[in-house]
Amino acid sequence: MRWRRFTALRNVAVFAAAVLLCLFAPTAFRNSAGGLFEEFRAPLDAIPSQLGDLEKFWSLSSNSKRDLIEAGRDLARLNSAYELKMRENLILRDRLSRLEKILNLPSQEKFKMEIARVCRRDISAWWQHITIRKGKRHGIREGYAVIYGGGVVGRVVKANSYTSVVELASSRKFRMAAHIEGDDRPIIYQGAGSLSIQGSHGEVFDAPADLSASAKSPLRLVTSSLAGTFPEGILIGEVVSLVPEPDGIFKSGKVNLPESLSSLREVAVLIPVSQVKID
Amino acid sequence: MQGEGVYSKKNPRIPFFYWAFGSAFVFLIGALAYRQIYLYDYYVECGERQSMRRVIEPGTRGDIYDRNGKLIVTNSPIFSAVVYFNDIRKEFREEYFRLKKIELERLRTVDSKERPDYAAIAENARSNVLGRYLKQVNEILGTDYKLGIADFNKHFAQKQLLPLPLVKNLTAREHAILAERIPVDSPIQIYTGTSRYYPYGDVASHALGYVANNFDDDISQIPGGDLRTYAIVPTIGRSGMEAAFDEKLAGKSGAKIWIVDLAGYKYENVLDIPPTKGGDVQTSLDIEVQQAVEEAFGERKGAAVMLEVKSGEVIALVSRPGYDPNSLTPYITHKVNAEITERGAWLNRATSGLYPPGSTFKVVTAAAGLMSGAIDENSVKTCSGGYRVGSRIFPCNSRYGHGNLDLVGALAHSCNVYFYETGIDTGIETIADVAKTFGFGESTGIELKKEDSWRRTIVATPDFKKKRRQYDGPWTNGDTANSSIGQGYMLFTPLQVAAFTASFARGETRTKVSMLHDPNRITDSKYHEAEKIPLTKSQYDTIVAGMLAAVERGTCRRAAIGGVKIAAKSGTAQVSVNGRKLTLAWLIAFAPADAPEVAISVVVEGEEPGDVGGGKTAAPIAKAAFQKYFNPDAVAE
Repeated sequence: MRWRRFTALRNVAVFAAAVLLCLFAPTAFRNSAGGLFEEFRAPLDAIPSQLGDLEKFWSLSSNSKRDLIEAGRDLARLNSAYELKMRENLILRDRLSRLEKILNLPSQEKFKMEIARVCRRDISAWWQHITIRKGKRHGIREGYAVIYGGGVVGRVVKANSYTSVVELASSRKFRMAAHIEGDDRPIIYQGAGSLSIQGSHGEVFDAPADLSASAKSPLRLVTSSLAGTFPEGILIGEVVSLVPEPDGIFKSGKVNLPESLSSLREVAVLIPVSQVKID
Repeated sequence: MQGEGVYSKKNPRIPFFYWAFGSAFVFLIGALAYRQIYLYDYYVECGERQSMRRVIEPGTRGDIYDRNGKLIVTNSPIFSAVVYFNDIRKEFREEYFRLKKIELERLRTVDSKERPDYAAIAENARSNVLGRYLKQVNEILGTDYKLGIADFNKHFAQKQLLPLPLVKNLTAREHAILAERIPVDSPIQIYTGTSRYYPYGDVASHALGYVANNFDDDISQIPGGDLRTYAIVPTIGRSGMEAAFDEKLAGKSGAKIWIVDLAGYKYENVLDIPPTKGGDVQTSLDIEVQQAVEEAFGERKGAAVMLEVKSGEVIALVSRPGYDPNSLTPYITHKVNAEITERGAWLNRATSGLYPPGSTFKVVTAAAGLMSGAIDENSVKTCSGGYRVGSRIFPCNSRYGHGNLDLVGALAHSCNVYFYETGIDTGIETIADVAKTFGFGESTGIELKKEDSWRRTIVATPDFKKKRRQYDGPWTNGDTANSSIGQGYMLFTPLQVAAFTASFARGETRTKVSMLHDPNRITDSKYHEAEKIPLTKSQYDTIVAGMLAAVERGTCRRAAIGGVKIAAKSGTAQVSVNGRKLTLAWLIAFAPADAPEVAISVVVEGEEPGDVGGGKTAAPIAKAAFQKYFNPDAVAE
């Protein structure tokens, strides 16, 4: 009986000690403890995603031979098309670098892409995060831009060794410089914190007063390279409304983000080339 | 037992205490009621005054467009990285306690009984916290902006509820970087203010004017007049259209009333009236014509005014040298002021410059001569290069004389002798009366406030000389001869001369000038308060023929453009500036001569003796204006 009471008290005491430690421990200690926890938890985030990939692989391999052969043919066609494109790109890149060298111009290549699979989604009223399966070991650092085929995904807010947390463009805490396609005047974009990625949206501020947009004639909002985080011209979303602000100089409005943001499986982290050289 | 009745109920002292206590109680209740009920409003007001603060934010000024809808004055945003004291209050407190602890520790170590200077500790705490945020901004931007402890404390003491600017005038790149890299919930925020912006720089600077801070803004209409107020200073038009249409352009200030706590930090917003933008104005100026005329002036000093003949709307109002109004906003620095003063660029020469009209006045003399019968359409006079009046020979512009000339020839070649004689025959009173009929010596009605100098313009008469130039002796025929060719005492503004040219082109006596574009304006003689010029058609046509001949073969050849008939009259007036005899180049013109659309007056100030002349210097400027007006897409020659 005594033993049981002691055990119960011990649990309460341990809990209380942990709470006190959390409250009064130095910030550095708390940060490193948090980091360690993230590192410890990283495989737990990655394993289900990898298992999912494996499951998909098995489910695909259980298809009939005919399906597999057809898929293989399609894949081969796509691969050869991509290979051709890659070769073209390579030739163009070589030509560009030769021209840059001849004309003594600075290199136009500012970012290197690091492709990463999405392993966790944390989307709620509070958070608009995804976790990707690559981290510091792959050269990813906090603040790096993240994009995908459909446009902007967001920005890395936490880089662990093997995983990174990305703040989505729909998050209220996400803000960036942008501009309307074909108009280089800067505009500020900020996520609107939608409850769900489906139908998520953002807001624009400081849009020039002579611009107008509606659902029927939306304006394409693209990234600006002014701040140096994103390259120029990557789609953020479509501005579907613009209303004048009280100062009469600017307009603010609503931005619809691409629906494909909700089904992200793979993203690309943009690593500045200057950083790659330093690393 | 009788003797022991000390505590008897009938003790006479007890009622006294009843009354005393009762009275005191009634007094207290009364005083309480007086304070709680009668003085209720007073205490409510005191409470509000102590616990509420008002923040005034000015409304943005309206835009100005030219007659073709081009934006010529607007507002540009000014981005600043700011911190709101309210958001960092907790950090102030933490830093204050940290510094206080250090100070107490120090005093204990040196065994001093001195009290810590708590005010200094608070100031240092604020400075440290704000310094950290400034450092953060500098690290992000890679800059080295600095603010001193005095800046922080001054702002805290005087504008606690307004944001403290850490970095002002952020560039577009800096703005973009901060927007991306500063967390959305950081106490550092981007504040957007506005500044008046003139996209065309110094083009039409005198016509458009400039704005300055208005420390006397009337905010009496905004509630909370008795509260402690923090106001962002609005701007007011100081000259040109900015001043003339200030009432329309000025935005309406908005206000926020905050309940603050004991330390003066915001607690609750109880009133929020957003500021509203001022109205837009569409001016009659055509910015492209204006630009073309200013380019034609080059570095020369002078003025030009182009008017729409029918409506009196100002198409171009040029005064050179100009200034860049962007450099005068939000305030004029000593350096800029000194530079503009040195160049003599503050003066709006178009509306306030007083010049003798020179030979352009011969059109008035010709009209007066025809009206009085001193000459007719066919009168011929002989010019031998000079004209004797009394003992003095008045020269012609051609040393060897023009020979026999009729009125058309005299206007075409600007023969002085013809007009000396005509003027003397007509008489100065008649010439002056005709000049006054055309509006010389009076206001043109333009909305610009600086046109007040029309009061100093002079239509010379014997009466004027008697009253104002008595030391020059009585009026003589020589004065009449001089006045007949626009010399002597005559002084007009280029705007008055342009208004006369437009009136003459329309065949009327007056033109009401306006800086506003109104396509629906009914522009009959009633609107202009004008009458028909009392000349026969033949007389009027003769003068116009003389002006046409001046462009075709006379002194105004350099004003000609292809495909448009221009009627013009040049002039080269002589002035004495600081003892130096200089010339003024004049030209008046209207076109097309048979159906006038626009009229222009140009005056160029000479800087060396004889360096400018009407046909040589002023005519090409008028040509540039006509070319841009009639062939806007043509490439300038």
